Amino acid sequence: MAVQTILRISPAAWLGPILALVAMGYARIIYPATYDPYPLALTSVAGWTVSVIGPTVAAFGAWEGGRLHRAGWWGLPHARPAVVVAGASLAPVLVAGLGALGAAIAIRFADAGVLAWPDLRVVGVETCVVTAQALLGFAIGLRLRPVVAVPAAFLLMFTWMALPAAILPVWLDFPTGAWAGCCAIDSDLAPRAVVSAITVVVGFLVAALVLLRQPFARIQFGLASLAAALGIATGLWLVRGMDSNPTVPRDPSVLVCAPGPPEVCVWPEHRSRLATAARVVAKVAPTWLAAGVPLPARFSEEWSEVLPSSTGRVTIRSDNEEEIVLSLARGVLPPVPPCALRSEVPYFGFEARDYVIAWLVDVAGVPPDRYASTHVNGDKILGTVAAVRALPPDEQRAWLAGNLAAMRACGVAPPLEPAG
Amino acid sequence: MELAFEQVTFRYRRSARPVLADFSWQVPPGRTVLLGPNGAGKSTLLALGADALRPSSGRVRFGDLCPARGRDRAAYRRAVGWMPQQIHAVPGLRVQEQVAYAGWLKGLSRREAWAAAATALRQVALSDLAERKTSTLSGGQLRRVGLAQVLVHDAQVLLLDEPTAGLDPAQRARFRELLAALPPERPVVVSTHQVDDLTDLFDTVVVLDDGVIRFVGTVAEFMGLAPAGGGARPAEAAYAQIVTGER
Amino acid sequence: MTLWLRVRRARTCVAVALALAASLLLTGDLALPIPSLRVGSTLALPFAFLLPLAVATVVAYALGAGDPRAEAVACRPMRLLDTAYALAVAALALGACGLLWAADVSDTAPAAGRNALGYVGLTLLGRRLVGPHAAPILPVGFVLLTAMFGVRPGVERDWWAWPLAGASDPVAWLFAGAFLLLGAAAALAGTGADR
Repeated sequence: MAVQTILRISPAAWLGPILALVAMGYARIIYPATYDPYPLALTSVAGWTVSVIGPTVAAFGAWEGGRLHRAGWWGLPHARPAVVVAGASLAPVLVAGLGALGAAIAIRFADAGVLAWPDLRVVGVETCVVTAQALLGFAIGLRLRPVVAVPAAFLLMFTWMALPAAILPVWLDFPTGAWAGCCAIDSDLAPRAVVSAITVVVGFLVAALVLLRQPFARIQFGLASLAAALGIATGLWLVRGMDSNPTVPRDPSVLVCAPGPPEVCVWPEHRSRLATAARVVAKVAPTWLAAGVPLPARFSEEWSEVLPSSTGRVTIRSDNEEEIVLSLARGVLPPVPPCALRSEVPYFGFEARDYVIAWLVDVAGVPPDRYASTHVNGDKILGTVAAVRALPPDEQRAWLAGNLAAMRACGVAPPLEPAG
Repeated sequence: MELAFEQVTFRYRRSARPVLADFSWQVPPGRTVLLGPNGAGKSTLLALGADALRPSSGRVRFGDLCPARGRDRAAYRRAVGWMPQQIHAVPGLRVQEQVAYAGWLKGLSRREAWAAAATALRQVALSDLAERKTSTLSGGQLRRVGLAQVLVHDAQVLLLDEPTAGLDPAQRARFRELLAALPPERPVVVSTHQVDDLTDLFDTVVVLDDGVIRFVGTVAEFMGLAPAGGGARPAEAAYAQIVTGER
Repeated sequence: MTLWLRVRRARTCVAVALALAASLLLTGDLALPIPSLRVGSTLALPFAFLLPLAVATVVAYALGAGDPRAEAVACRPMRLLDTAYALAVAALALGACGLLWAADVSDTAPAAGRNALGYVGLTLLGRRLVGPHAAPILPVGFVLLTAMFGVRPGVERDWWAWPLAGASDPVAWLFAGAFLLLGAAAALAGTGADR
């Protein structure tokens, strides 16, 4: 179709720029999973705009399908395959939809000041989502009157994209392909979520192809609904029981490290903070060792359900040395045992953590109120830490050992207040 | 009472050029065939006559009834029967229901419309399809439904836009019989661009071209325009003479 | 009249109006996230405010379901009949929602019923402004517009964003009623000879 014709007749051509502006506005107001310049997180946040772009292109597609419906063209014996005829009609719709997606990604990267390629997995999935919804909208427009098809395509797709986000469990949302919860810097997009979204896309594409098939019989509505429902059901089955975000731990092989001991490893996006972090570790590690603190062989930003005990988990959020000390203090603590998440035996380690962190911070030479002042029991913690710090080193070690033991196991009461 | 177009000008929205400009014509009694090439304004003229379109200026009247006047509109529309070029199959309705619905729209009661629909379907030889869904009919069958829709109420003047388009030869013959059976005092205008439709059945031939009447006369007068030795198709030759010869 | 009601899909319209009420029972207080660009966050748009769009859509469908050419030259007052029909469907939806409210089973039902009135009015207006095929785009677009731009930071909502108002807001009822009347007036008024 000639560009001039498209510009004259296609609502997608007239409204495409407005859709792009809305997508850009939307991309800027969604909270990202991280404020780090992590391309995956930026792409995912921008990709969340498919929840608006998808239904809109479905409506545009329904209008284009309705045009052929009214003209009675679809039933003609075309020499070209049906998908090619549909593709020609949908070209301006796809340009509008994918253009809006591209604009959303571009504005998000520009706002973050990141000059990098967006995550191609997310871009690929969102492209498939937009294409499938446009084609399904087109097929609906071809089979229903435009007066019903356009609002129906929009509302059905909008409900599909928005409803799962409004109900629990959280993983119901993952097959939509809109993943605002992806990804914190230590996590990566879960392959299950990708496969799940693609499964739904396939379901929608099959539904569209069923509706496009000539000659048309009413049973095709039933078959198309079945295909879409099967796609959604399979997509949901693939992500059932997943955590609150569609993520998996990030590949630790990309970590950049400074030698130790203890070694410090950060994600590439934090590379600029590595030198400062290594300097702080070199300063506080001997102090903590002298105070009897069991140090890990490695401080690392990597995340996994089960980290080796030789690795202390840290997050180097900034260049601020006091914040780095605080993070290292957290990294020194033992991980929360699985029994803590069950309720058979009480776990006291959470309470002990606050006291021990404040003590570690104080030992490292940072005023403990930097940590405790934001805490609800701040005064009590500060008072206890001052009391502990006044004790002889051996008694401080015993206090620390008692509290660490309470953190490692359930049912162990921590000696929060120093004896005597 | 005659149907008359008085200094009618009509242009479609977004079109600068009028289809009809200062057009005047009085539908003659009897059967009239309205010939003309595509885009001549035949369908527009009939739609104006049916009050489906309203002139930009000038007026259309049937006797004293003028559809632009609110109080005359219903009576005018009851008096004029119009078969549009495209017949719409109303989804969900059966053939007799669609014809009865057309009768109801023209003011017949439900009972009258139902009975009149049965009669109209007999006239167009569709009684055996009365229970079929209109959406399942062929193009030619649908045109006969359109014809039944215009016959269902007792219109005083009939405006038929391309009534034989898509009909097979047998049905075209049937249409001619139907036309012949209509009371001669009831004016009928049949528009067509097929000169094959021209028969002695018609009292008047009108050729409309580019919104202007190029010829009005009897069939014999029309045939007389064919050049001597015009070949086996004198009607076509006469038509060509009128439409292209005067330009 | 019976045939006309069949042509106007009366059964479907009644079913959709009643289904609106049934859906309100099923969806309860469910709210869908939608971008609110002026606030700079997502807005939780009650599903109950979107559902009446189905009533507006089915009205648009029904009004276009006849034989447009035959109806264009009808002797009967088709504009009046169609407008009355649209108002009746809107009133039925409102009535069904009112029953839910009276039975104390849905708090959002009155607002949904009110929105059904306004959306049907917008649809009637849309038939006149953008044509019968695109008419429902007007209420759908208006709801999106109100969700995206009708709420400002620190302000619950702008005065014109009536679809987002609670049931107790008299101004929203006024707006919905005004749109219904405006739509009815637009449907009754005609410049052409189409009805």
